[in-house]
Amino acid sequence: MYNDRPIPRIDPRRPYVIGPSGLKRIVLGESVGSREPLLAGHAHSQQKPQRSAGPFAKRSLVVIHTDRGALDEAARETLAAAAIMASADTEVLVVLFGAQAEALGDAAALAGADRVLCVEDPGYAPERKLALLAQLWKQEAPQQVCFPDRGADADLGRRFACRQRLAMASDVIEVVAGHEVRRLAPGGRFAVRDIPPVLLLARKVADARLPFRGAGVAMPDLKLPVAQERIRDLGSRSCPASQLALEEADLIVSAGNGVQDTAGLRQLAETMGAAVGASRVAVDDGRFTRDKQVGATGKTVQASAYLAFGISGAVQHLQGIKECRHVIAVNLDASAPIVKRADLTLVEDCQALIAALNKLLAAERSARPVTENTR
Amino acid sequence: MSTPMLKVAVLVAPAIHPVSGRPCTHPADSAALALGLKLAGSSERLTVLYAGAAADEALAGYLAQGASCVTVLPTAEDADIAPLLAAQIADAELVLCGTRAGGGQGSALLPYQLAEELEAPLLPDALSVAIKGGSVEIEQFLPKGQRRSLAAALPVVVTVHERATPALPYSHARKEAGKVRRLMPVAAKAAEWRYEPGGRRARPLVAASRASGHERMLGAIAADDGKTTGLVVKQGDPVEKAQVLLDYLRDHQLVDF
Ligand SMILES: Cc1cc2nc3c(=O)[nH]c(=O)nc-3n(C[C@H](O)[C@H](O)[C@H](O)COP(=O)(O)OP(=O)(O)OC[C@H]3O[C@@H](n4cnc5c(N)ncnc54)[C@H](O)[C@@H]3O)c2cc1C
Ligand SMILES: Nc1ncnc2c1ncn2[C@@H]1O[C@H](COP(=O)(O)O)[C@@H](O)[C@H]1O
Repeated sequence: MYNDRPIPRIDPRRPYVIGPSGLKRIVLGESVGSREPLLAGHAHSQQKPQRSAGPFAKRSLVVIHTDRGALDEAARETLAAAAIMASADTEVLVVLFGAQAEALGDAAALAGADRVLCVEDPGYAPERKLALLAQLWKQEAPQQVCFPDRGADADLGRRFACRQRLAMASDVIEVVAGHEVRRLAPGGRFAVRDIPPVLLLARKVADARLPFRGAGVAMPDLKLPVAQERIRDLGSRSCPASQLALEEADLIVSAGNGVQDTAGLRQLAETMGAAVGASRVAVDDGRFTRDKQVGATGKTVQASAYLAFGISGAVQHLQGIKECRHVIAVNLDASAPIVKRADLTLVEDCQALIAALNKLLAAERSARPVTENTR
Repeated sequence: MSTPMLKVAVLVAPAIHPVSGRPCTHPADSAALALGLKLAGSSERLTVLYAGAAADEALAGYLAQGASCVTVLPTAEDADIAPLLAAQIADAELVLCGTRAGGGQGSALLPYQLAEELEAPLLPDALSVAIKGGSVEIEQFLPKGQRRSLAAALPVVVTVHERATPALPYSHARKEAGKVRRLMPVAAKAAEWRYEPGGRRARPLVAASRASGHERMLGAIAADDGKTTGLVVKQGDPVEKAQVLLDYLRDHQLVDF
């Protein structure tokens, strides 16, 4: 049959956006986007809508100890939970210990905060922090105070609830907004109660990817009020990495099949104060003991920085480093799967790079006055 | 070593075994007991206390681990026991708890409540406890291999981390010799928790999205949540790349040298 319909013509320069993998995406019927490859960079990092424009009658308070001034995943989830629970006339006010407003940028707003109060963090100072929270509790009269249930926040949250004699729920893993909270009690049961004023939220309580953002009004940075501490902080130290279980280490130097120079790697770990990990191939080869294996059948690690030398990044290995914040890869192959996961990739021979790093660190050490090393 | 006549109270609670569901000892409470035995020196100055509805057999593990007598304050299950326990241990100078119980609520809250009731400072997550004159010094467990030393004047409440001290080995002879002493039952206010069978996954809070289907599709294919590949450095010799690596670590404050 002869088709008399006009031939559908495809515009070869239809608008497109660049996806996260760097590929061009053409969406039919879409008129936004770019025709110019050079302008296409971030066509889709468009502003998210604001959750609520106010005016705010009520308040919900979130208290977070930042991780070196940044929000980690637990903090983001707690903020997201508070923002999702908040009604349109409820403002999410976040107190960030150890953060600075200018360094933080709009990270808190993107995580859902409407008002941000950055406070210095002098280390262990429960009484002074409690004094600040008591002051905020009175001034702002929040409906709810949320803490992530981990580390310093877990400690402060429990102290706050007991000091103010407020009902609280810890390890909350499920919130039915406006109704009840749920936690896992020993024996595999759920414990349920109606929402108390103080909430300590466990990981995965909320999905941190929000379709909205908070107003993110920054308040001037604050110093803690003066209060008599009953506990003296005598300072902290970090354990030598060699004595530390891999799961506990903060910095890990990990070796894969590409590393032949294990002595150099061990020396590097020693000078950096890092723990040593390995991929399964390196362990099977007998270069490392089984307890060093990272991955699905090895250990799951939570380091802030994970240095992967000569590791291809098989899924089984990547499973073990899911929780690592910064991954740095050294590999000869710029298309190895680890490169997708890594925040920084150096395309280089491991042996050469390890040697260079060792030399660099040794040179810095000898150039420095000796007094600095005796901390 | 330790000051003479230091009165120590150790709080223990039976845990629910995660597999068998039977009552057993909890590693953190066992560690607290082992520390208490060491610091008190003699058993007269050590009180091992439990409040609740558990049977004597559930506490036998602690007898086997060195407690010569466990004092039980019988209350209803799930009662608000903090004020009752606080009244019992009001004269103790050092109160040792586990960081978290393996039974009941297991919310790591009781030591904080006790500290507030007793108006004593609370030293959390101790790996070691030392008595120096009238004060207590602990080494606190922090994640990522950090340790912190904290000190406070007696009386104090200390929560003991399960890695602090290995418990005394289980001894059947000690278990037979030890006794469980029951006090008069007391009534207490019930806690506000209800129980539901577990076994399902918890549902996370997810923000309701007002976006249209088309917008969500766009978000899924081009949104910023999909992690983009980081920086890839190909140029330069090994020394330059080593410098890039060090600079990255320092810029993100991941190392302190
Ligand atoms: C059921 C199952 C469970 C598993 N569990 C684990 C696990 O828990 N942990 C784990 O790690 N693996 C596990 N594996 C194995 C996993 O699939 C991979 O085989 C393994 O992780 C690969 O290790 P690799 O990256 O060190 O070695 P390879 O895959 O051989 O990769 C070596 C990499 O080093 C690079 N390279 C080579 N020479 C150099 C050089 N001189 N300089 C720089 N780079 C160089 C190469 O380009 C390559 O990318 C499991 C597999 C299975 C089937
Ligand atoms: N019923 C109880 N009787 C005595 N001590 C308890 C009881 N419940 C908890 N504890 C102590 O308090 C610690 C923390 O308990 P929890 O707050 O329930 O997690 C435990 O490790 C015990 O030392």
